Amino acid sequence: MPGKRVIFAGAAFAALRRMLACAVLCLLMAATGAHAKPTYTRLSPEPARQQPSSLYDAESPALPAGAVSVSSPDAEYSDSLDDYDETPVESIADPLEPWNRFWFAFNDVFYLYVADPVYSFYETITPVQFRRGMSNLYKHVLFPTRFVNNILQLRLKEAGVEFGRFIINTFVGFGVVDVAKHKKTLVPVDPSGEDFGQTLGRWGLGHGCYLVLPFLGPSSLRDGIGRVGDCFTDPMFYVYPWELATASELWLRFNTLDVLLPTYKSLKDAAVDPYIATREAYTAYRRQQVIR
Amino acid sequence: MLTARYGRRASCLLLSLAALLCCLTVCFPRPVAASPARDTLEKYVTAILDCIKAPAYANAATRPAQREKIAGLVRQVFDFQEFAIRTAGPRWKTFTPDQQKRFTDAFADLLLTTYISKVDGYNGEQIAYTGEVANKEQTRVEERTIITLGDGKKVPVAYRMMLKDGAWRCYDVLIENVSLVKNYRTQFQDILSNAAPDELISRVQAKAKEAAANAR
Repeated sequence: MPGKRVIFAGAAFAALRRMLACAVLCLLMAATGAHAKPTYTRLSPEPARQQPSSLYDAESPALPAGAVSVSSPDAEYSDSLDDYDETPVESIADPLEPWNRFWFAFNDVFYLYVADPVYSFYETITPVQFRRGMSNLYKHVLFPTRFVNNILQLRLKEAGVEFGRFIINTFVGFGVVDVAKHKKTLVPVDPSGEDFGQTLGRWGLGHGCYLVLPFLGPSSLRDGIGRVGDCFTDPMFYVYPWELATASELWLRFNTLDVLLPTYKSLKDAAVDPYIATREAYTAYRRQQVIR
Repeated sequence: MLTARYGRRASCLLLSLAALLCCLTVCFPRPVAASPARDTLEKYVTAILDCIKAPAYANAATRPAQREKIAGLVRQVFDFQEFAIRTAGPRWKTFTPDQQKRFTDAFADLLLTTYISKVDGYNGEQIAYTGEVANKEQTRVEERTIITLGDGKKVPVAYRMMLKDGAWRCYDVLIENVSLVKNYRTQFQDILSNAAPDELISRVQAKAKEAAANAR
């Protein structure tokens, strides 16, 4: 009998703990959502609200009003197709435009006249298998960022998929071969992965304002904070000596330019005003990443 | 006796065949007729891909003619006037008919040259039609496709189409869910906020010329 009571007490304690964790999370979400006015623009009119369910009533905990609710992109468009008729397009706040344009011009010169020739040279002296292996390794090393951010967004299944991939790639691919790439997953996982900027967005925080970072390119106040947050989940941040860590991080980042440079070039070729085109493409892409 | 057993076996066989047929019809539902919008899109995409794969395209001497042919096909399925109206936004109505025409032509030139020059990089990319979404009135349709690149990366591309003069024509393209029209519209909105339409037109023309020079 006493044993049974202990088990019962244990269960009650576990339930209490779970409730407490939920309450803390709700508080956190409410706190982040209450102050920030998100700047998302919907692609389509707000979908019609469904009948309130009998399970969740007005008393039930809910996301703050500004939070991005996650639905499949299919449901996003089905009501009407955007015809962009009369209303001007809303875009991200850009109070620092002259400053941003300066760094955009700086980055433009850097990408096209420094990074691009250096990368072409790098391409001639290294085999493609090596470069691909290194970019797989970089993605592999950044696993904690994706894993932790999935958990912070309560995407537990996605976190599980990332974890499974990490285990497979560690033991079968030694980090340099992405063996798990084509494996069917429990839930579809965005190949670009989650980061802290997306987590903040998911918690209802808007971009704030647009920001162009030197060397790194387009970002926003939120995503800039996200980048700082990501440092803490980047294993390289904890490597000693720091010179070695920074050098390897820079090199691994340089190695992934094969995707970024052509994208930037084609964007710039097609744009009448490349600064605005990049800004809009960046915000639209990030919005999709957050909603996805 | 023998005939009875034979009869039983035959009926068994017949039954199992019927069951199999039932299963098959359940597993493979009859192909649903594709919508006219998708038929149109698929017809032109296939025709354009055929042009690129043709030996005439690989031959440098006949390539310009082949490119002209591709441009003709693109013009048939893409309605550049609809693109232009949407990218100019509310300001379109303030353009004079002459400005509207020059703007449409310049914008069409820019899109055609930048995107046809990309065709050279064609490397056996596969296109899969994954679905379509229509509005209630069935006047606008979004055709969704996924393009598988040479390295296995998948890019979602959606084509928004409308029924115009009895034919389905494209008025926007969304690559990775980023709308081409919306992107240009923000650029043009910004330029038009402190410049006259003529200046916008000359900037688009200059960019188209630059793109043409790069493509050569």
